[in-house]
Formats: sequence, C-alpha cells, structure tokens
Amino acid sequence: MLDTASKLLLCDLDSGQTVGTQTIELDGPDLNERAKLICTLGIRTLLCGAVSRLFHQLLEAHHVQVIPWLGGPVEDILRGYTNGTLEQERYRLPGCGRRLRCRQAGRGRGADTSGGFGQSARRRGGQGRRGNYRKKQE
Amino acid sequence: MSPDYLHDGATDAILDSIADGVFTVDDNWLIRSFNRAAEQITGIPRKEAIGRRCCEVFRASICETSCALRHTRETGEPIVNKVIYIINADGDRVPVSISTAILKDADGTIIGGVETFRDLSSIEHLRRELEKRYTFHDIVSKNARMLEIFDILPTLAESDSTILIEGESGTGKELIARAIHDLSTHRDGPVVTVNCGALPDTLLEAELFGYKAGAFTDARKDKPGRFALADRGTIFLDEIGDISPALQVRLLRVLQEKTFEPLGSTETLTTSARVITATNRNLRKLVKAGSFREDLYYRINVIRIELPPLRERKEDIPLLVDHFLSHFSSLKRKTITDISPAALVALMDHDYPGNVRELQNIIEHAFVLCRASMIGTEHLPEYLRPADAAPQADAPTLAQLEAQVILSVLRKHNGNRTAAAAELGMHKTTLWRKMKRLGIESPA
Repeated sequence: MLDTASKLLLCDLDSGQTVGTQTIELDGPDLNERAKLICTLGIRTLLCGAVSRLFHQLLEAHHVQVIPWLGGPVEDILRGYTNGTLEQERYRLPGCGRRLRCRQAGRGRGADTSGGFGQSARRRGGQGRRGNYRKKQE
Repeated sequence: MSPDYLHDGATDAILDSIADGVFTVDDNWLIRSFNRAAEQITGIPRKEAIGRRCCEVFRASICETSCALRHTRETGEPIVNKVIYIINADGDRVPVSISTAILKDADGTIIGGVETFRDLSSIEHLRRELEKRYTFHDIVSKNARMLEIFDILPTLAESDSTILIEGESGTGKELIARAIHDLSTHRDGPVVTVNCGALPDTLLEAELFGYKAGAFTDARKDKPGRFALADRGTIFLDEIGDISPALQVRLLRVLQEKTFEPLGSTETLTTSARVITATNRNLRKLVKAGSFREDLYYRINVIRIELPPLRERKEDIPLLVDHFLSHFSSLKRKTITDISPAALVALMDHDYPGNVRELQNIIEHAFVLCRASMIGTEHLPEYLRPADAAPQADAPTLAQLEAQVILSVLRKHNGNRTAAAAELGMHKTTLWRKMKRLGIESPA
C-alpha cells in the first residue's frame, strides 16, 4: 500500500533499459509530507500497488502521474511500463475491474498510461517492495 | 482441522454465513478461501482473490511492516481485535478490526493462517451521527446550556429582534451570529461583521455608516457603510461595549428608526439589516458605571444569549478535540486521528482563559509538531505539559506542611495551645490530636 510504504525505488530508464536505481526510505504517516518528498525527488510518474483515493489526489495535486493497482515482480512491471502493456490484466491487482470504472469516471492523468512513456529519452522508476513501484520521468 | 475440510462446500457455507470477513492463507501467503463478507468489505470478488498473495488482496496499513498473520505464525500468539485500515477496491480507506490464528493439520503441522476482519465503517458512521447530534451549524457541544441554546436558536432566528450575545473572548459568539443568520429570513443576504473594538471612533463611524466624497480630507469618492452593505442581510457588531458615547447615540437611532446618514450626506438611508451584537464585557455594569447608554442597552438586549466559557463545559473538550483533529486533518492533509489519554488529561486540566479559540490553537500547534498518527503530551505547548514526576520526590508531603504550620503557630504563641488552636481555626483538642499524630512536641 503506497500510503504506508516504507521504501521507494527510483529507476533511471534509458531507451527502455534500467540504467540506475536508488532506494529512498519513506517515513511517517503524513501523506502531505510523503507527496512533497515524492515531488521534491522530481518524480513525474509513479507506479504502485494499492493507494487510497486521498493520497492519489494529493499526488496528482503535486503533479505526479500515478499508475496504481499494479501487482507482480518489479522487473515485470518495469517491462510492462516500457512496453506500454501495463493495462494488461496480468499486472492488475484483484478487484481492478471495479476500480477501472471509478478511474474512468473520476481520475484521468494517473490512470492514463497510453501515452508518454516509451518515448522519453531517459526515465527513472522505483519500487517500495514487491508490488510497489515508483517511476521518475526526466 | 484439515485443509480438505476447509475447502469443502460445507465450510464455505459456514464462512459465508458469518458477518465478519474471513480469509485463509496457505504456507506461501496465497489466499485459499475468501468468504462473502470479505468480498463485500474489500470489494474484491472471491474468484479474483483466491490464489493471490494476501497483501495484494487485503491491502492493509500493516501489511508491509507488521503483518498480523506473520506475527501469529512466528510467535504462536493470536492477534485479537487490532484496529487498522484497508484500502478497498474503490480506493476508500476502510477501518477494520482484525483477529488472527494459525491453521494446523491433523499432525499439528502449521499449514497456514486465518484472518477475520470486521468492518468498523458503520460504527464510525454511528459515531459521526452521534457527533452530528452535538453539532449545530459548526458549533460543537453536548453541554446542557449549549444544547438549550441550540434548541432555542431557530425560534430566535425567525424573529427580527435585535440579539445580544454575551460571552468571553473565544466562546464562539461569531459562530452563533452566523447560525442565527443562516436560520433567519435574512439568510439570502450577506453577513457583515464589524469589530467595534478594533477601530478608533472616527473610523468606526465612517465604516458603519459610510461617507460621501469630500466628507473629510481623504474621502475622494463615496463609500458605502457596513449598514448599507448588510442591507437585507445581517450586521454583526462585535465588541459593542467598546463604542464611544457619541457613536452609541447614532447607533441607537439606527436601531430605533432603521435610518442613518452617511458622513457628509444630507440624504437619509434606510436599512433592513438584522442587527446582532456581541460583547465580552458586562454591559449592565457599564450601564451602571455610566459608560454605556441605558436606552441602547435595552434596545440591543431584546434577546440575550449568554455563552458559557469552556472551563464551565469541559465535557465538550473531547468532542472539540475530535472536531479540530478532523478539521485540521482535511485542511493540512495529515492523518492524525487520535490523542493520547495523557494529552487529553492535560487538556482537560487546563482552564482555557482563551476558551475554544485557545483549544483550537493548541490542536493546531500539536498538528505542526506531531509526525505520528496520535497527538501526545510532547506535542502540546510547554505550558500544558505535565511536570516531570522526578522532582516530586523532594517536595514536602501534606503532613510535613501541616506540621510546619502548626509548629510555627505554636512558636508564635510560645507553646500556648489554646491561642494556637484559635489562630488555626480549630478546637484545642483537635490541635492536640494533630500534634500527637504528627509527632510535634510543644515548644517551650
């Protein structure tokens, strides 16, 4: 769960290849502080598992694109991200069909993974633990 | 209990009849059963949950750092009714209480674990409903005097009479004024607040009644006064006890005739604004002292509401703390949801010369310092923190103090017990008993 995740993995991506990683410790339950830290790190795209609606909105307010409800090993998620296949069912956490409806109804940026990635010259991504991934796009 | 038995139809039927969510995991933390209540609470269909890792399905606040099932598995100790929250399929945080146990096969070998969880949302909802009963137009109280005010306020608001709200600074006079406005026939008009104590007399006059261009040196163009701005709405005159005798005369005329003239104007304007006044001073005393006009006092005192200070309604402190925690949580986007018992005791022990506003400032102060989910005494302002226990060891006991006082009075009267007892306000036999109990020898 992103709201309480203790680690964040930043990944540098270059032409779909991971060229560097760094683990960041997250501390405290204050969602605003967490969002600010993520914003300060320059993260523009964040891949994660479960996230509360409140934290999702907060991150979007800090101009961080969130791609939530992803499950599976980090390498698979990164591959899905660079291939543009994250919408495939195998990456989704259980109950995602219901969320997708909510997503389409209210979210927008955080849920839209169809454009942008795979075209940047260099990206960074991250992982908190199995199933929590954060990516920073430069 | 064997895994075969767990997974047969009978077990599923039993589990589905339970109102609490139940899931079981195998040795690899993969979900093996997921009852109907679990589907409802999490929003995840059973067929999607079965075979997935429990943390991907349950998504609890403790999954990463302090998994309850793992704890039970490693220590053998069950967890009972631990309150956490999960994120359901809609992205909502759902408060739940969880209990865990390990599952063993017929040979006693651990084959997994079971977790039951109860949705606390309805309890939370009931708590909120209860809070709503004690909330009246942003004013929170369960104090009997305040509830009486809540009851009578809609009736008072319906009349067009002038209302005087009395109460110490920070008791919520402006909130009451706004509630009256919201309940009155003037609700579609504006609420205009004027703090009469904050402006010098001449400025206040111009502020209340407005002025025409050229009325005084800096009056380059017409400016409407607050009475004009509040037309068809409500004008709230706070700190009414601070206005000068000259202005009291002008105000009296507005209240009596509903008319006034802006400074420098010969035109008479009318106002239909509802007038609500407030003061933290004792107007009756000011009338007796001759600094407040008696006729104005009776004119504004048609209906009087007296707000009790917070020290006289301390039962409201926990409610108010909850209210401010919730208020600042959404305002500052922090998830501080609770206050420690010790911190609450410290808040209850305080007398609040600044009333509810002071309590609000204390909680805001704590919000800035607190980085956990619960406010502790260390987050309170220094003057509220309980003194350390250590220095108490050197402090004299009550008996020692009593002995010191008796001995000094006896010395003063050269050992005369009758005179000493008279000064101490007790009978001489009582003094004698005390001397005996405290081991005091009569000084020569």
